[in-house]
Amino acid sequence: MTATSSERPVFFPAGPDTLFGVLTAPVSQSNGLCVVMLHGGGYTVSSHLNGTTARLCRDLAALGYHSFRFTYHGVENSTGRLEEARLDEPFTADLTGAVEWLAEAGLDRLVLVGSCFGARTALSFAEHHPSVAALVLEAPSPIDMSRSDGTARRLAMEVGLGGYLQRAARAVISGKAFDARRLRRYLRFARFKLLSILRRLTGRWGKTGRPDPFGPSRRFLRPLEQLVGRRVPVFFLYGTRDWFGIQFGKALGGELGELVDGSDGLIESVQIEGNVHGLTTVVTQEKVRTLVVEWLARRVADGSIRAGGE
Amino acid sequence: MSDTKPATPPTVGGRAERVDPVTGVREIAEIRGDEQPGLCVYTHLPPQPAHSGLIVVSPLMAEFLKNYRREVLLARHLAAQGVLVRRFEYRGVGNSGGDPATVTFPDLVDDADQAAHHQPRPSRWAVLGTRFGAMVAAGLAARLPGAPLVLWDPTVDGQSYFRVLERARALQQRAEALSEQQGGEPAPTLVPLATAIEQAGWADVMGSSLFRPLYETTRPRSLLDELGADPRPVLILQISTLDQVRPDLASLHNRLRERGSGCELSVVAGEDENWWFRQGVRGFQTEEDRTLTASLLQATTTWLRLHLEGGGG
Repeated sequence: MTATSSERPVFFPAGPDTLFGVLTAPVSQSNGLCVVMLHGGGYTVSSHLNGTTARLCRDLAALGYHSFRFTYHGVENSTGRLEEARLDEPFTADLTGAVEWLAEAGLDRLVLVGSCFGARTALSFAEHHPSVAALVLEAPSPIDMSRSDGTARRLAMEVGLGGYLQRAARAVISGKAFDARRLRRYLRFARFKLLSILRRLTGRWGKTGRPDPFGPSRRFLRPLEQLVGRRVPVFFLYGTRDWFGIQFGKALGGELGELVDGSDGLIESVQIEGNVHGLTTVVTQEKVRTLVVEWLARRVADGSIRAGGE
Repeated sequence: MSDTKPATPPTVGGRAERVDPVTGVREIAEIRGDEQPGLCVYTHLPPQPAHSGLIVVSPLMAEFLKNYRREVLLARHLAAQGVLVRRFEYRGVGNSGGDPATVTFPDLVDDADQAAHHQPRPSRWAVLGTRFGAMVAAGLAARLPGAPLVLWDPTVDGQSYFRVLERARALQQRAEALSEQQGGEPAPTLVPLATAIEQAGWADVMGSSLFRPLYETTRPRSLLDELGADPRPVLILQISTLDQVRPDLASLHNRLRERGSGCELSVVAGEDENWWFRQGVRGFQTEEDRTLTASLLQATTTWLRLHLEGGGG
């Protein structure tokens, strides 16, 4: 098999840290685009589970793209300490470091491919950076949350008050409610349930002027508005098992839907079977890989993704 | 399910280097383009000349991701204390080149051996194997007479390894079935590992591909057979919330002692360790803050310092 790409490891500065990445270059003519891969908010490796990201980079190189996969501070071979990922505090400083290194290497026309937390990081960054030519967002949450309060929000939206009382009774009877760590967790559950009840009682949360803890965040919507204004294509990918996909579907009934309808086809979304979030099966990994490659090829061909120098 | 082939393998080559401003340790990442299959190799080089070193032999699939950061932290910790540490990613895994569909168990041992032969090479090696990596580490240690061997929660034979994989897949299936009962998507039918490999040539193990060549060449093997009869110091660290020693590890310990190896077995307790589920049961915790990580690093470092001061390896 003839090689169609070449790869090299990279250490680059990002804020106080030194991050690790791998640059994949096409052996043949470059198309002037560099695809930057952003992983989710936890411990992983730059190649990702089952080498999914490494394979996508190599696929893209065969088509003329450069690509760059890297890990955030505190992950894999990067320095620093990873803190709990919060969607309202994406790691844009890490991405800025990567983009600066790429610019020095002459790669300044970018496509960002982000997964979950990485998708929100890509979205935040793209809002202010004209070097971004397109975005692929895999299973991003439209709602701001952290890993630890995600379950609390989900339960608040899905479980009725009766269900909460049953759970509380079980926790008291089993004695679990008296463990400090669990108690903090239960209090978080109660807080979000209370917020969800208040939200229902007061009608539309938006009228209060405060961010809706169960609706799409301004941090999610505002960059999309900007990108549509700049005519940057955006591709959303969700799985039928993704809770974030369900929330995305609900959000389409509101402001997000109006934005998508008015985007002149720039915002596209696709739902496939299984979990895009975490890419938990090999079949889903393959489907996503194929969809990303095909979407990019189509968008480059129709001129909506413009390569460097054009 | 025919579309599981890797992308065309890259031509590889290149090196990146950083120096830790506090410890002075040089960290070198290389994708070796001059050798096939193009292994991704990391060297943690102490600021002063190192006479002894440790090769870290990783697990595979979800366990590879789960343990990765811990291995990096161990490498940085040991290098700061004067021990050269070499890590690598097997062919077809991580950032290395190679086709995972053709990899066999002997290939993995050869990869470890290739990593051991990279320069700089210390005069004495110790070997660390984690989970499945313990079996590969045993194969490598057999090529390094007398080299001290550390095993973190080792897999003792191929059959038990695949039983654990089967159980993890069943648990995942049960979770999906539960979600289906609660109104979620229908759970896919679980085809047993052996059947899937028999029928398709590969199986999906929690999002990782397990191909027939690796399955068939691993199943009949055991750690003890891979290690051979040569005696050496061995440290087994069992990870468990219970104080009880696992019967398979107790048996391994006894057999090694019978062979004349100075074998120690300790239980590293404090936390749950669900190797196949990347997110721990207690939610997110920074790896640097985990009691388990600190205990593993301390036990390994103390033992290695003692055993690397001798000769051989």
